[in-house]
Amino acid sequence: MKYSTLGPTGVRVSRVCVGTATFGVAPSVQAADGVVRAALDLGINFFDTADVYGSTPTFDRPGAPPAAEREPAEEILGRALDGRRDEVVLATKSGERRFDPNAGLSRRYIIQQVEQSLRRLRTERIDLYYAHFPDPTTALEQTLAVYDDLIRQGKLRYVALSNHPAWQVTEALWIADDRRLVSAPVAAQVMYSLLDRTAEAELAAACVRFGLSIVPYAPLHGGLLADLKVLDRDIAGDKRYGGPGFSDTEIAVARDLDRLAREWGLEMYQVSLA
Amino acid sequence: MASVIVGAETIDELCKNASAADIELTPEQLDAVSALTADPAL
Repeated sequence: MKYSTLGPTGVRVSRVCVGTATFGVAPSVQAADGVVRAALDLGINFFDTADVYGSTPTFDRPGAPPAAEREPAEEILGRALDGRRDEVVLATKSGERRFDPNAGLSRRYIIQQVEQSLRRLRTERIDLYYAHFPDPTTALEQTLAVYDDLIRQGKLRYVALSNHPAWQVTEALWIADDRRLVSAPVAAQVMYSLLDRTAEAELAAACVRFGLSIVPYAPLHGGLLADLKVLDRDIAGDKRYGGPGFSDTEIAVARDLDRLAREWGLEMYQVSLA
Repeated sequence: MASVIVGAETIDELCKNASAADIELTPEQLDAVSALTADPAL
């Protein structure tokens, strides 16, 4: 396993981070333990979860228990990491507003969610805490101030932004600098793949300029950039989250990419993740 | 880029994805991939 440094933190993280959005669905609760153990055996030390992962309707799919009966991914991950917590860099988030009208990035909500995540993850501190989505109803100053408090209390180590545009990342850095906060974001998580390179236009440049790490999610675009066999599945891509599925253009590009990969003696997923 | 988040559903998928992170493409290969995926319709 290769490693890199997370933004300006000096913290060494594996180049592969295990996402847990569908923990409890696929892999099942029982199988998730094995996935986590295998990851640790491979040298992966970076795990990503969120307060809403696993047990919200977003992740419903045929054959899986309904959302209300599913355990949150944080609980499954916390249990799987029992006894190995100190070996990993644990990231979680809050602020997804789709399923809870009270959710967002307010002081009240963040404190509530951090306490819940600590309990679920069976830990006393979270290494990396993300603002999951922008919250237009809460001033960024308030969000960074509560993160600052939680870092000083030892409950969070570092904070980061997820799904935020470049201008908000820049604004957050400016606020933290102006107010002498220890909660300047150290990373930006964003959807990025060979089929969605939007982040290259602004966010990547901002992160390079200010020394933040980019942590891309969905690099295989719901499996389409892993293996064309995914097209044979009834539920694939963003259909897993209630979306429309793959477009004809995306499928055409994936077929071309697969052809190119084979010419080089590689599999498509290898080219997509390289 | 620090790390890439992969959501493996099985141990086999995880092992494949982890090994892919060790692959290094040549500059020519990167250019070819970049050209292929630069479609403005995406």
